[in-house]
Amino acid sequence: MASTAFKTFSLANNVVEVSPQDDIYKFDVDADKRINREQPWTKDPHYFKTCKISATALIKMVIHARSGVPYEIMGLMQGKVMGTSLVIIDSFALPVQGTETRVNAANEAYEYMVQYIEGSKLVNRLENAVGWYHSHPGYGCWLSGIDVTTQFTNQKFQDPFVAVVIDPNRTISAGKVDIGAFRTYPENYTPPDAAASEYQSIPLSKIEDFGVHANQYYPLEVQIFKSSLDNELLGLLWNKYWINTLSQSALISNRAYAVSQLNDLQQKLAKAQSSVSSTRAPIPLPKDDIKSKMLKEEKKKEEANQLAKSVKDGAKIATEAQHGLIAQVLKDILFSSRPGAPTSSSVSVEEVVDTAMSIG
Amino acid sequence: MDTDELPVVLPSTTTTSGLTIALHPLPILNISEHFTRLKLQKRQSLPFVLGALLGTQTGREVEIVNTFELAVQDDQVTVDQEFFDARRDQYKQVFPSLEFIGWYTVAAYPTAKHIAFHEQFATLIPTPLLLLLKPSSSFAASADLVVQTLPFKAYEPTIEIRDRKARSVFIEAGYTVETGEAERIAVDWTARGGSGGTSLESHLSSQRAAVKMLHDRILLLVKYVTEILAGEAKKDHATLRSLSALIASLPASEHKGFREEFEKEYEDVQLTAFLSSLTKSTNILNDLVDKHIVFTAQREERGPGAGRRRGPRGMMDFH
Repeated sequence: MASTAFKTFSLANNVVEVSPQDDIYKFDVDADKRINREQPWTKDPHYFKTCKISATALIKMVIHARSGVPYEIMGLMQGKVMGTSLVIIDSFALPVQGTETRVNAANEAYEYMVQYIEGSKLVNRLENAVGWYHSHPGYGCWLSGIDVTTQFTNQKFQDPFVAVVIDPNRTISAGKVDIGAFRTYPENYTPPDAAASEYQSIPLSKIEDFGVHANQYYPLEVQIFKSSLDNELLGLLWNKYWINTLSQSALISNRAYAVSQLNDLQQKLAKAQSSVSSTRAPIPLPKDDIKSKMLKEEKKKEEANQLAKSVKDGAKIATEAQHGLIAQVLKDILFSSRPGAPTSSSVSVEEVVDTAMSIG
Repeated sequence: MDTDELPVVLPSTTTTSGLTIALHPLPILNISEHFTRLKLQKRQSLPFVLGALLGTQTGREVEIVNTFELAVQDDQVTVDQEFFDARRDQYKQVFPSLEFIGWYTVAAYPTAKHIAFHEQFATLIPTPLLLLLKPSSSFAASADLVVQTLPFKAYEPTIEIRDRKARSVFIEAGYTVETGEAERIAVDWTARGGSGGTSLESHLSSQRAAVKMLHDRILLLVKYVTEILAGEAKKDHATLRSLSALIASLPASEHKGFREEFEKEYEDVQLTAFLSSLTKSTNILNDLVDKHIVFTAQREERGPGAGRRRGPRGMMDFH
């Protein structure tokens, strides 16, 4: 509970509404040259802490990612460095379909990239390329082995560079954008014990790849910013597209993804079935004992508990389905009930909301 | 008579555009970003902004999906053709279904200068649309929700014959805002500042906001009808006809097939919820059994005789 509250608090503070002058959009050529000369990030592998993404860049990336499902797509991002954060002002798509087996897919699009960036200068887009993005349709935001290798190379030759991953399927089923920004550690650098990262459900087929490389990179905090004009337009836009909120149904549009999630969960449960007999309860310790060492061991045992993880996955699937259902039931009540007649349908919103609350 | 003195836009009472234009939020935000960026770099409050519109056009239905910036040559009037071609080809590679369908700029209303640009674009496609962003420092903070419209206007080019001379003019065209699902979620999320997880609260509040909008609109319609009945407002037959068609189409789903499908989906979702709680209970049960083992094992250490008897039996007697 406390972790959720903390998460909400820290997420709620991630919005940095740009000052009235929309300063962040200004590109100061001299400051940029200076910071590229100094390169403070070479001294500290943990230098970059946040990744600020502009509204337009984000929306373009999400649309591109969704349009490419079921393939992984990739693209470049243009921006600059501001303090300890990498600011991304714009993004553009690359005509390459990434697959997990090609390390340097970027090489094919090299000509495209160079042409695009050169052309950008003509239209006052002066920022340099500071990162690349690609999509993981349906299997979460993390870096695979190939991604880690690619990012290693990027950080060696094109620093400052950041890797952004988007999952368009999760975005639609969860109703919020699933995005992550990462930087790799230099080789032979062991990070100090990373804080237990937030659990995310990874499909069985990818879980090995995820685990092996999980310690070679760290996530940056993602913040979204928009200009004051963007703000006003978004407010006005709501007047127009509220209809789509009601008319679209997450249940229907994400059916294939939901089915694959259930399949995956079933496989995980089958695995859990075999391992559940070997689970051990954590032994309660007196307070004076060396807590930290014991806690770590307990954590490892917890992580090995397949059943517990499956429970979390199951809860997530069920909650998202409930959300979709709430929308459907609402629409049913709004548009299908005749005034005066008793609601013939056996469904009611309160029931569904109660179920949703009891799961999560 | 000089064309510069004649208005470039035909009044909308005499002619209406036959196009149905669907505008996506992405072009809107792109243009806004382009404008903001140029404002900052050139330090002007009204810099010259020019860009191309990408989208699809089937017959009279146009959909504006994306945009990219354009450069002008030094004379400020001719479009940089080379850059345009290169950029357009690049976008074709990544989004093969989108085509060049028009251009945009920032101005209060179209002028002769825009006609000049239009002539250049007309060489590429027959009827390039014009999308104008109206720059105004203060958007109307009116409480009347009808007045709050986006500061964009779309124009369709056409030829007007006057005094035996043909000239290009613009006709204002209406547009609606359409979104894809991913686009809507992304726009919604950034509008709310990128906060909130899959919490029930955020989902419910966005549903509530949408329903409230529907409610407000319906109230407005009811007010209009009551005013007509009271004789205060003028009867507009087209509106009244569409209103009655709307009411006749409710309830939307008494059809048996729909009901079945709906109930099935409902059951499926509830089944997933049930299964998830089952899994949760199994896990809790497993934890409890584990703890019980530890508990009885410890008791065994202290009292071997009594424990051995009670240990295994204790587990089987577990209810």
